[in-house]
Amino acid sequence: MAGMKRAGRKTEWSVTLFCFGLLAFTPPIMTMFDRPVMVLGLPLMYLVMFGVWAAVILAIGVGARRSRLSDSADEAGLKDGEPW
Amino acid sequence: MVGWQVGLVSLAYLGLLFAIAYYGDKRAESGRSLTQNPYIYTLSIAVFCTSWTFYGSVGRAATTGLDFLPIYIGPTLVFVVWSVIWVKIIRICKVNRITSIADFISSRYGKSAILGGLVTVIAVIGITPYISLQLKSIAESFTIIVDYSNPRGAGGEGIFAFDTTLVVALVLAMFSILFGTRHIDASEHHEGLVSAIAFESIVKLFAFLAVGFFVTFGLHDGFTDLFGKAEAAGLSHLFTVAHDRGYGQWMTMTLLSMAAIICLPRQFYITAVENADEQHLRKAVWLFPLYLLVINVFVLPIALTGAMAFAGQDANADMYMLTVPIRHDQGALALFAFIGGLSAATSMVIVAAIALSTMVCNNLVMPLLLRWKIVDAGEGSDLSMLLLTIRRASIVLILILGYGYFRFASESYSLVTIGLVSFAAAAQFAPAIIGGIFWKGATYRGALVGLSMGFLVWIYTLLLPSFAQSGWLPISFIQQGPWGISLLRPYALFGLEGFDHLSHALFWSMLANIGCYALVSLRFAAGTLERIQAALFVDVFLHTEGMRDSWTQDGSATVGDLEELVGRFVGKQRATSAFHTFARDQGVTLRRNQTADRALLNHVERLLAGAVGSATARVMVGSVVKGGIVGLDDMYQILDETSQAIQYSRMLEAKSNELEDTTKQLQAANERLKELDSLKDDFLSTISHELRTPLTSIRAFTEILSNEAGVTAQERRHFMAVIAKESERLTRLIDQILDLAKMEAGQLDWSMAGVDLRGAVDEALGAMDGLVKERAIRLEVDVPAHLPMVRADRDRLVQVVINLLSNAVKFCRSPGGLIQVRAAPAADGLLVSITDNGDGIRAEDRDRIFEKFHQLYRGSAAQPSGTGLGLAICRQIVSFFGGEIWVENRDGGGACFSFTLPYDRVQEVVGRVGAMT
Repeated sequence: MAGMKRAGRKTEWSVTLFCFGLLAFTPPIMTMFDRPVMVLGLPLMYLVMFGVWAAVILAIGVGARRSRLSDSADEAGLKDGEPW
Repeated sequence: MVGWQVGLVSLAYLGLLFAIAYYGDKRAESGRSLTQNPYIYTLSIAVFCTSWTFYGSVGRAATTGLDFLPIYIGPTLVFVVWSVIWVKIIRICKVNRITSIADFISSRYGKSAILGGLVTVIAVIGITPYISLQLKSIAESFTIIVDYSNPRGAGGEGIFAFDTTLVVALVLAMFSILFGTRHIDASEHHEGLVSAIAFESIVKLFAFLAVGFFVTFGLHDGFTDLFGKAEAAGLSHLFTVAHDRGYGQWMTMTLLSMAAIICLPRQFYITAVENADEQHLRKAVWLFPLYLLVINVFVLPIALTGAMAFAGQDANADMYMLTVPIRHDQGALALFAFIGGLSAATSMVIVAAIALSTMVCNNLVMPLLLRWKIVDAGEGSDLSMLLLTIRRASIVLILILGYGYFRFASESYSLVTIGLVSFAAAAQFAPAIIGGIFWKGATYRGALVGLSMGFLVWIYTLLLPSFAQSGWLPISFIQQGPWGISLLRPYALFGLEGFDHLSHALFWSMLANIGCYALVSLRFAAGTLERIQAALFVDVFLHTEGMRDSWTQDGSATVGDLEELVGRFVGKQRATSAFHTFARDQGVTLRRNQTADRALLNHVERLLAGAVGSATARVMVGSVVKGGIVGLDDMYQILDETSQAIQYSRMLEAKSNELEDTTKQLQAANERLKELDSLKDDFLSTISHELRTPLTSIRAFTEILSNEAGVTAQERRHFMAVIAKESERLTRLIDQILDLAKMEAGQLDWSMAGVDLRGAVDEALGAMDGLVKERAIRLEVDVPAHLPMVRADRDRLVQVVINLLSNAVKFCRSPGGLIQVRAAPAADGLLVSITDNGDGIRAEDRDRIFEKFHQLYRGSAAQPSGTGLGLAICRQIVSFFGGEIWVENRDGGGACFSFTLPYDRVQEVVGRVGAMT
């Protein structure tokens, strides 16, 4: 049962990250940075967009790592409709 | 460098590409696959970056700033939820052997051929502008690189005096044919193609980075220097996403690119169909976004550099990748960039052409050929050549379509705008796909109506206006609307204004698409097949093991039939090896004339699905399995239950038949019992009568003798004689009953020995002599003196003959009675017959007269005078001796009782020995 729970968390984690990305890359939040200002010699928006983007990629990479726990959860995860 | 040199370099590059593909295929065949790792897989997904990325992003960045980014951020967001979407799609593709996006959608909605065809049509029409975009970029970049090298202009010499784009289109068609349609692949992937595409991704990345490094660190002193100069040059509006423009288009593009990374036929094909191992996703999900990020880092710097360099000039911003190096006299770098752009364009065209041709072949042409019976899957010819030909022809056709669009419509658009038109078409698949894998209630009709409506709106709000702008339609179509109806203006449908064309089109098409999809799905129930497929797709992780769709008709196709069918599409050898693998995996032996079971049928369907798509495969297997295509697991279960019920009812029927038989037998037995019972009753009454008669006369005579004084001595003697005779009769009767009872119980003592028949017959005749004479019966005896000895109990044998003789006496004619006694040797015993000349015995009585208590009312005798036991005793005795007894009627009246008696073996042997000595 622990495995299934973990697999479920993983999905929740990725959906949460998706919501965060959507939030960061859509108007209300992004408009705050969307102005022709230079920070550290770089355009603010350029910095923010690529920075957040890189952070999201890092988070995907961390989430996609195969852990021993979730390996053993493969079977349980499958039954839960969740492969890993 | 002149035109032919650039052409030669380009061809050399394409040649290298083909060599890599060839090498990749060879490696795969020898089992040392190049593509079995996540890095090649990632690079192949990077086919997403086309010349749109390579040239168009820079162009867009140079005009509107950072709003080129959503095209790459959208896919990144989709890959965030890879475990929810991609794993599921890939698993579904693997389980169902999906070959394309059309196959996927058609398979999800009940394996509908119509839906597959519609998706194919949408994909071809939608992707054509995209392909033309690639051709356009190649043509433009070629013109620029040659123009730079050759101040006299590009059109001056050699084959390039002709239409460069057409040549490019044809060369790409040739390469697509060589890469993708060398053979029909039922099970493996196009490893060579994937290797080549991965290589192209490396080339375009490095080309882009090379130009990026050159402008950032060669022309400027790093990023800060570059951005500082740009700000000073008044380009700081390019540092933002939506300087004073609002975010509508940003949102639209984000959504479109999210849909595109899943729904573009080539992305679907490379990511889901060509995926070798689900585990590769683990790395690809973050490496691919990383690739996108890295290739985009230098977009803004290059765009800014170009904008600064060509400030005030009428330069095509889309071509800064080439013109910036050229302006700074970096010919080699420009050529490298050109090759990078070429790789970006060719990879897209090749993969898209192959993916689309597979769809055109499997989901459009083959279903039609099968439906129109032009091709018959049931007959012998090899169809793999036909499939290849269709695919090759469609590749050429698709590229010519792309060229046509380029020629007639694309001149007035930038690369990005063309690409977005295609994205909007591909996005129409998103509801059907995403809804299809998460919502079981989505139905075929919903998908069909939704897709059709979305596609029609797309045509009306994006494609037709683009034709109008190219002059194919009157421009008033856009400005005043068709027939002057302003509510129908394609860029402001129903008066919706204030949005860019793309957002406007996406809103209306998605409203129509999703709205119809949901409403129609909710309104009309799904068919059985749809529900099954829906369950297979939505619950793919549940269904991955165990339950699979099935054929109901097990017994109607042989293994040989199926192997032949598969062989015709994928080639004989491949089919044979696929069957061997199947047999080995299943641990069974397959014989050609063996009837195929469900597992094999499913396997064959999947094998074929790899070559011709699932809908077509089903029809084909169906045409071989004569019984018809019902199938699929719960359908199967339903039928299974039915067949079980039928089997059960058959068993019941058999049982009931059995019962009926038993009942009949019982009835017969009962009848028989009743008969026997009545016989017994009859017998009892007979026997009591028989007992009573002598007893009565004995009592009467005894009373007379004791009471009446006036009885003469003569009378007394007579009375005494009668009493004695009656007593004797009583004794005989009781003796016979006892005898029979003993015989039946097996308690009688038999003294078996060799008996001379003649002696026995003489004794019996002697006993009957008085009676015969009394009745004046003529007796004819024909019993030879030296007959072989028989094995019998002498007294019992005499009894048999006496019984039969007394019967004969009783029933023969009177007067004029005749009894014949004969004996003759037969094959395995003596045949003895005693014949009278009475009335004979009716046929129905002949068997029953040997039963005990059965008395016959024969002839004139009103009352049977026997005990009803005589013949029964005879049969018991003869049977014990090992012989048989029966009765026949003689011609001219009279019954002939015959019995056989086996020879005495001992005597026989002794006789033989005697004869020899």
